[in-house]
Amino acid sequence: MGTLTIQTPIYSFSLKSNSSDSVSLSLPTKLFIPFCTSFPPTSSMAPIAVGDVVPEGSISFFDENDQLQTVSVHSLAAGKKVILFGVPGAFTPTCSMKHVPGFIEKAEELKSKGVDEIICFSVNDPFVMKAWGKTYPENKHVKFVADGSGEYTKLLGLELDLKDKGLGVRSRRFALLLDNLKVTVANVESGGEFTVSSADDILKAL
Amino acid sequence: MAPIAVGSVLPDGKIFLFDENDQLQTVTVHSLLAGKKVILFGVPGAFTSACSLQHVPSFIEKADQLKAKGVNEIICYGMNDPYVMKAWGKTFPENKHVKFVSDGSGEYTKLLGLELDLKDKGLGIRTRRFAMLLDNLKVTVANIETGGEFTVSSAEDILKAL
Repeated sequence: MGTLTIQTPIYSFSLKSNSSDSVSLSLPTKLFIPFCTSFPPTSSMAPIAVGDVVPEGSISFFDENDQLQTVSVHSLAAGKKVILFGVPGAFTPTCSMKHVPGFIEKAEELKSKGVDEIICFSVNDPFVMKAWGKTYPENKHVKFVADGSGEYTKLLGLELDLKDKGLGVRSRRFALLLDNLKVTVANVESGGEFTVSSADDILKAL
Repeated sequence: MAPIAVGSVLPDGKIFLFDENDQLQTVTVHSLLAGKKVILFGVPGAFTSACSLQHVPSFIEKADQLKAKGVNEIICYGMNDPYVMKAWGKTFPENKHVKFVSDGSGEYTKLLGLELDLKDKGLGIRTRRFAMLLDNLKVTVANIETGGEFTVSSAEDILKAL
């Protein structure tokens, strides 16, 4: 005869042998069930960092035949040296007048240093990203992709609350260098400022 | 919410726009539209085909005619952010009267009961296409499409109703 008590972080229950041929199971009369307002938990991911493998997820863009494509980030970046730079908002001043032009100007230099792709990323829809890309007729190499739902930005841990400006939740400004999906450089701003995420900063790191 | 209909008073809520001095403003719909005869027309997406090539141009072309019939304001409304709505508005250099405003938070479209699920196209939740005529905030004409089609919500349809 004996009692086996099983303790879990939330409650305990016990199995007691009453006799040689019976066992009773006692359960607590009150069960504490943690109340989750959402599942899975909505706490943010830690921001992407050097050494991480870039998370898998979907982004969309219009291809050379003007067809809407939704592709996995891994299929886009696997086996390549890729610059992925993120902007809070298409058609906003810093993004339009400094961040994107910097990468357009330095594209040839970056490519000559072994970069295969330069991708501009934002939480805007693909129609907006296409239209914004077209405002740079001089652009030869930078691709414009959309995280239309904001889901990929969450996976990167780089959300930025810009609801006060009518932008909703966007991406922090950043520039990542990826080598076969592994993050080798992660220049991430705290918000939308433009201090470490330029093309020049990536060039210095190459 | 049930979709907005003729006879209703337009709900109050916040929207975003850039003013004449290029400053970002958050305004209430009521403060913007009270006491006026206003056309409010909604588009699922800035820079998308039907919106850019048909819906907006129809209101730009008929703006003078609409104003001659007593319309004070013609407002284009979308769930794109105000920076996108401003940039999109600028792609119509011939535009003299149509204003572009943003339901940047997505909240106002819910109040209108006009949400449209376009997640498959990477657009998320947007507004159904519509054109309404408002007289001091009261809805006198409500031409609302089921989704993004363009059958009842043109400037011509509103003109016929005036």
